[in-house]
Amino acid sequence: MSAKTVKVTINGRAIAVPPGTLLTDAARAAEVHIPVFCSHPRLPPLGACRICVVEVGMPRRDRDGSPVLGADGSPEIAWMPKPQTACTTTVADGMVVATESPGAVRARKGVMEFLLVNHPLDCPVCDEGGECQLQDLAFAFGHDFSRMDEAKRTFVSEDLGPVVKKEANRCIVCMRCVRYCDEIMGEDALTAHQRGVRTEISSFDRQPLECEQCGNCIEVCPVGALTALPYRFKARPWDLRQHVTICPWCSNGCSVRLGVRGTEILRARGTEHRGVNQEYLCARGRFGYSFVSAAERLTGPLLRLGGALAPAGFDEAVAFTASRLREIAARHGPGSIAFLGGEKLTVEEQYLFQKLARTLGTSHVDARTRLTAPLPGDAILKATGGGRPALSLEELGSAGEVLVLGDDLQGEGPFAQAVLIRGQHQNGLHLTVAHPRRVKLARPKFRGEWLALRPGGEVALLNALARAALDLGEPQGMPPGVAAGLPALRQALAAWTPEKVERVTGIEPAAVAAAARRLRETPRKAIVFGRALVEHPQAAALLQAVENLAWLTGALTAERSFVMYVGPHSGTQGALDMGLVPDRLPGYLDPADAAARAPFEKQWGVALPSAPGMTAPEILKAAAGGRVRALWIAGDNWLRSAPDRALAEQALAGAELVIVSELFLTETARAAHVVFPAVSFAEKEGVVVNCERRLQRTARALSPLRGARTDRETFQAVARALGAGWSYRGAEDVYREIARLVPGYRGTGWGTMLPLGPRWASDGAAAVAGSLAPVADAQAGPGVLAGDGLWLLSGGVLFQQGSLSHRVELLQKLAKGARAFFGAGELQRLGLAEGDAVVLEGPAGSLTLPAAVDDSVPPGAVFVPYAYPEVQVNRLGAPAGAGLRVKARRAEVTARVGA
Amino acid sequence: MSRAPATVALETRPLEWPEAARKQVEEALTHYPNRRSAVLPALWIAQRTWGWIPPEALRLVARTVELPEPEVFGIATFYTMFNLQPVGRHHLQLCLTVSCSLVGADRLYEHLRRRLGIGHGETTPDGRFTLRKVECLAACGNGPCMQVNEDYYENLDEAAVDRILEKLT
Repeated sequence: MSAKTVKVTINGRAIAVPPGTLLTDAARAAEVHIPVFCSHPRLPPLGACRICVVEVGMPRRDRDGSPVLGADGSPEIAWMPKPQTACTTTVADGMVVATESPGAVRARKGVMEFLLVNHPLDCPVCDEGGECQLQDLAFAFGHDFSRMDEAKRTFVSEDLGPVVKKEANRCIVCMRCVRYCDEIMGEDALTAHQRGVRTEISSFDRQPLECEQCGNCIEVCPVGALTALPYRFKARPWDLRQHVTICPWCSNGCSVRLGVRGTEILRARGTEHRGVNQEYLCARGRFGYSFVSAAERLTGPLLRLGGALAPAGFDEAVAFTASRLREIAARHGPGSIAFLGGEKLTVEEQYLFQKLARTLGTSHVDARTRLTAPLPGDAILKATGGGRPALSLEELGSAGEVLVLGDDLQGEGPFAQAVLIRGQHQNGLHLTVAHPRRVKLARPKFRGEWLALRPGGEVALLNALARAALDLGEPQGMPPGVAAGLPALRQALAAWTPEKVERVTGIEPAAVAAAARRLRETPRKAIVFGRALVEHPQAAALLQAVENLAWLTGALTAERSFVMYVGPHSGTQGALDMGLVPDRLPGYLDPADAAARAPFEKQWGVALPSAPGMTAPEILKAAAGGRVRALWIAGDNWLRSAPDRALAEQALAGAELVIVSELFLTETARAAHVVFPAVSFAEKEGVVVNCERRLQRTARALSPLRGARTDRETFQAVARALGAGWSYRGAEDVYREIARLVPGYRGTGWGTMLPLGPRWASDGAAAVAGSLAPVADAQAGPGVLAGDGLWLLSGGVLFQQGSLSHRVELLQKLAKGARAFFGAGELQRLGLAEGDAVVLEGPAGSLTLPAAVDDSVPPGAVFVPYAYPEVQVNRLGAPAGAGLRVKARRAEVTARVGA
Repeated sequence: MSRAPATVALETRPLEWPEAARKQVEEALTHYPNRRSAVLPALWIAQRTWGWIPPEALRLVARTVELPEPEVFGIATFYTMFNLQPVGRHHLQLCLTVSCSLVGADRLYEHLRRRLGIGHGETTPDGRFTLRKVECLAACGNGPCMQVNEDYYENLDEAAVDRILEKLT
């Protein structure tokens, strides 16, 4: 912040604020309350509602510029003849503001009277009643009678789709909803129509809203004009207990305020002035809470003693689990036991999960069940700067250039997408999106560049960008260890000529060069990637290529620049940090290093294996081949997340012991021998780490469902039954151990995480040294393009996230059923029409889905979102090389004869 | 009740500009530094092409001038002269503001109502006429005044109105 400030006096209190500050913000700094309706901290000033009117003056000056003094020696003030809107007026040096002068009070009362001319004052039947700004301000500044004899203007109430209820009678036309929808959501779904005395907010032709259904228009509405249909007439706000916790639906880690009555969550809202997200929530976060109270929740352990799973007592299940684990370890060695999953758990649970595994003597522990190829446990940390302080999402939005690699943030990190859209609208952020589909952020209206990435061209594109960046001059500021790799990299990159790159990626060399130039020459920049690269068969190469590009463009050396990993789940980062990977202990410590192992061995009282274990894809193969006999799967529907369903089915069928900790009886749980009932995010305390590596506390909003146990209790009970002396009294106890042992987390505690937790950065020990290294493309060559069939593009979508969203009726309704999406041209070539059933045949199996047109899908590809209940993408076979190719054909219609 | 009558979609599939209209739109686009500025001319061309502006035409205009569809809807609803509901072939808009009223517009309105058998905002069953009372047409010097589609008729009386109706088939 610039040191220059200007002096303003508000109601006699002098304060110094930076030039350009709005009077409303200056007043807040002076602890003077100025009411607002249309003004919003995330939106540019508008001055529509006029409730913020104040009197403004400047010291009167002589011809020579010196202030004129009054009779009492104080400067004379030249007041502006009319009151001014504080939300659009910026400060000036010497400015004097009066918010409580007779003129200001009279003007404000007048505005309030106007606002109430048509407002129905139906507070008793309005969901906003009790937390309505208009209600509060009418109480504070309104009259206790109305001078209006005329009939009020009335409108018909409308449902704008399944989440937004509109009562236009209550609207004060502040335009917050329209502006938020445009500036931050980039949806432009709402508009003011019949402008004039009958102005009304609605959708296009009053049709149901075709948008992200985020409900942020409801959140920012200062009155009850827009309310949430799912919450309509459910409760009064003062009847709700409010609990602020962390949203479980992605890795952005938004704060969410749950409104609870009794044992039920009735609504979820943003937090206004807290959290990384403030008021923002996406459709999942705002309307996806109902899985917590779904009737199908597991309420007790299940045991398969004979043929079928049957209810069992907790102690019985624990004893059974422990004795079977002991047996299998004794008979086949601890290396025949593997632990999978945990990306949805809290840090404390993740820590205990791997502690349990390693205490048992196995290092086969991996949370990254969707990996299609082995990946070192610290690869992501290394690609993101090896423990360099992460960029916050807020800072991401004020970067100058952002490259989004391979992921559709609409599904994978909706808040990150909103941050980028707001940055584009308000801070001049420029976007470059490399994705096979023209995803939302790549649409022309965001004025970015879209690099239409052909499947199989990922390595080539990253190498081409790196080469183009290197052509612009020597990279600056790299640590010596990294710079040492430059000559070899330079030599390898020379092979990636523009012609070759264009042949492999289909992207024009000029577009690649321009993207590299923007990234290199813009002072503040960021590279964002997610699961698309990490779950790619060439993940290790791609992550090194991302790191190369980051060093060469300055994304890891320039100030407030960064590489951000937006992982798929709320606990993705925590799982990596807590050592839920086979080759790293918590804090990315190398188990081969005796000094690194020592503190854990001392604390845990066991000798730890020094050799790395198998990664998830290796465990999958080993289990299918009978070499892994026991599997513990925590919070992961493995039959869907494993890259090859046939192998996973084989593994589950062949295993001697399968333990599943879950909320629901998923397909995977059905195949288990022991099922432990877990609790949801709303029923437990703990810490989660978001994509900014921010440690955030979750709060317990509800008592755990009767019969369900936190994973912490389950892990501890089994550990104790196995003879370990665990005696954690609660999750905080576990965290204290983490804060003692895990580099990066040292010195943190639950108490330091409110309201907004710290972002962890390496304290030396957790750092991973970066490097520059040539990246060969295993796929480069004619094979990439010459293959047969369509590229299968899969990915996350907004309204479907997996086994949790399958239990949320509203999200299912919004998601509108599974379909296979083709470009219009491709569908025509296949001789199919929209709605026809299409069979997709992969190397291992097939899927039948209705076909649909989506113009974002490129020719030669089909897009199948993986998270629909009826879609099992991994039935088609495991992606290999550059990905997976499938054949598409019309489903045969078999005529049924007879009944 | 303030709700605008529900609009009726002519077509549910996306509309395209007929050739002549497309040329006009392209010409209109040349008048402005960016496409969005041509939204009003494009709406006029749509109204002349289809007689009114159905929702699918609003979407077409949005696509053409690269504005969000809801924004085009907001613009079209601001101007009363854009017909967002179907109208007859001849849209009779009779001025009933003070100057015209003083010289007999109310009498003419009664005459039209009796003769056509329709009231304000209604259309004859054969789809020939829609009658509408409107505010000042800015032809106060020559009242009573009536606008028929885009043409003005001034200094009217019953006989003049009858002659006009005869000509409009």
